Amino acid sequence: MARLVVLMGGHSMERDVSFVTGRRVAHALERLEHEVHTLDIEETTTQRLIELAPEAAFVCLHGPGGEDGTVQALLETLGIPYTGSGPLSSIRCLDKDYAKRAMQAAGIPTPPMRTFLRRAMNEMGAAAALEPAAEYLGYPLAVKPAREGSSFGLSRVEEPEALIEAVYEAFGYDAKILLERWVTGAEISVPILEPVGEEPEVLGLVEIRPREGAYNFEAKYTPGATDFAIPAEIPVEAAKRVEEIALNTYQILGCSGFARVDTILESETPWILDVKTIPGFTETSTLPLAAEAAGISFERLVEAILEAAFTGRSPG
Amino acid sequence: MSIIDLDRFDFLYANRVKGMKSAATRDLMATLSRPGIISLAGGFPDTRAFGEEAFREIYYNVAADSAQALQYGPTGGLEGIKDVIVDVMEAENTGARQEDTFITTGAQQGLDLVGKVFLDEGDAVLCEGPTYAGALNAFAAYRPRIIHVPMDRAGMIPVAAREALKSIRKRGIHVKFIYTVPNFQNPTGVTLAVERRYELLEIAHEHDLIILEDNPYGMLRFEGEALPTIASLEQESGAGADRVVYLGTFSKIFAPGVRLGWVHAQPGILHKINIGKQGADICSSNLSQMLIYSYFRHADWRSYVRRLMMINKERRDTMLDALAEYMPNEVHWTHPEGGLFIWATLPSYLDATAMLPRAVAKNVAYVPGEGFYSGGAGKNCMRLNFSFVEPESIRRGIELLSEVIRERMELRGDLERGVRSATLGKRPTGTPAASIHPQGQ
Repeated sequence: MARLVVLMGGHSMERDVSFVTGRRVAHALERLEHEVHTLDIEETTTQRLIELAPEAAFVCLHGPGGEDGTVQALLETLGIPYTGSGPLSSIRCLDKDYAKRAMQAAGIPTPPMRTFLRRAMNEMGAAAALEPAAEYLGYPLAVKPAREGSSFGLSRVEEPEALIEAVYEAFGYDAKILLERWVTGAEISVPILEPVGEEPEVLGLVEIRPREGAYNFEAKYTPGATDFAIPAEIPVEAAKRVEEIALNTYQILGCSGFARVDTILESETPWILDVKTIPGFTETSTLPLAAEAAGISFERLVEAILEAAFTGRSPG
Repeated sequence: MSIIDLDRFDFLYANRVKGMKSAATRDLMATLSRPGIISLAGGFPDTRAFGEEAFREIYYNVAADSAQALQYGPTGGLEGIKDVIVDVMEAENTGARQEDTFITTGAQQGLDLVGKVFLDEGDAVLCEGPTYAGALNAFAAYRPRIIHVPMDRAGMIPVAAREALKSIRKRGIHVKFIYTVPNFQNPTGVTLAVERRYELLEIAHEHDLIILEDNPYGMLRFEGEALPTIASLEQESGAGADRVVYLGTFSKIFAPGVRLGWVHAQPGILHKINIGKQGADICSSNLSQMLIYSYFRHADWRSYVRRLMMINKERRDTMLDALAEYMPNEVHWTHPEGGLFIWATLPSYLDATAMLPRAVAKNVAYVPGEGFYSGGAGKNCMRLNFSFVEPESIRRGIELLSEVIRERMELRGDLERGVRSATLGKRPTGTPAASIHPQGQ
């Protein structure tokens, strides 16, 4: 039995999902007979962490502030072991611009993109470069905030006339946005678990089949809005390639403990879209569902992630 | 291979709920619970003003008759509370008959029951544009067509209502009632002018329609002169309660936690509403009704409402002052003389829904305007609540909000300038640049 803190809530747009994840994890940890304290992110959080002096923190925060290295760096400073990836890997994965550049450098297939910063729009008239960027990528294309999860602010743009609205919307969520080539194919989510002393392994490929159009925020967290096929119904060879590239991505980006790699299988190419270092643990989230399909109970999954926290991690 | 179906009874759901989606804005609203946020988004009265002692006392009184408080009651409500309602309506200069009064679980249930009783699929309801989102939700289950009639500073525009009625009737659509929130309307804070109240009655008479007068805020006037309710104007004309179905509530003059409202209408309509309520919840809570009875009979409820009004007036003044001080010239807002809300209109190219995440990131929240329309208008508008937040926070909230609006206006400017220069450079002269039109009203 260990004294543990579950960090949940936070200030991001995914605050509510984080609560669902956090409560579910906290219950599982209680069932595993740990002493569990749940903490939201507020001004007194550091003080509370010092007072509680937990043996480890289970980080159930999503999005900026919780998944971008901020809380991880703090926990490192306080000498509290924590679950999941370290500060550098966290910021690299949360910022799709950094993640995709690292992937490109390592030769991992990720859809071509162009980055725009609010500052450049304001100080350098960068809006004039939107059209050339879109022409380079071709239509349809995706416009998305660089540092936001759960499809907030994501638009599919079919034609030049709609570009500016999409850019405008994405800037509502972040001061950095991406224009990205739209890739079409089977949407495959790859949950990865790295138990103590073992190599990271793919829990199973999850194929996401939203019932109505895109897999947006609502589809993600509404039971019945999405079907999952576990394992994904794709040819064995393709599945192998997806797994291999996803594991490679996990390592290139320096992830630890667990993560979820989101991909689109377009004919032969498994495009890597992004990596979530703290994916959801709700009842409709793909990581726990894949674990369950692989015969790993929710408690066992939570326990495995926790055990990895105690062992420390390589810098990253 | 297994398909994991998270909701395997999907094929059994009724069509009316299949179409119901949680609005995108509701997902955003979920972030409002985060610490430090100044929420101008609520529609709450400040129940902290009531006080623990006063609450304990009314509970003590009810305890004396615990057996009844814990029992089922008549569908239309206990007799005692109907007397209270007659008094409350009289305080608004509206004559009411005890037997024409029917208790509902919040005025919200009144909206649902009126929808249930009057609306077949495809029937039309005329209402203000924008209108109370909760009414749209309540009616949605009966799948009507919602016809928004434009408003100005004096409320729903009668000429526009006549035109709308004419064109709907031409299309063979059956209009059942006109829904209006005449005083300090939610969401705009606008009050329907007296002459327009007469005119609405006339229109309803000409077309033989019901008027659903939803009046949760009438008693919340802190400035100007009280206007007669439409129900009272109908009675004045000698018709008694006839085509006006009046909805009242204790939520704003006492507390929303008791979930009690009422319908005042003619017996024929109440009979149908009674049947509807039997199927919905049999009766409203006896406990709540007795709490209210005890409070309204033994305490000085009028002075409590006056105290609430003083609080609200101070907060409205603070909000109006802050709006005048901080907002860009292009933003306009209403000046309510009561109620809980101010309605702000941004430049037409700004989308208040898309702007909400930026506002939330800066720790201020509001309700985007589009939820108050059925069908996508109102994107450049927002509802601001002044009743629930302390004056200093209102000031700070409006300051933050104006920063966000300026930032979005500036971004829009940067984008348009950049695109225009790029496009103009490429196109032959005389061809218009790529259109970047807003989706506003």
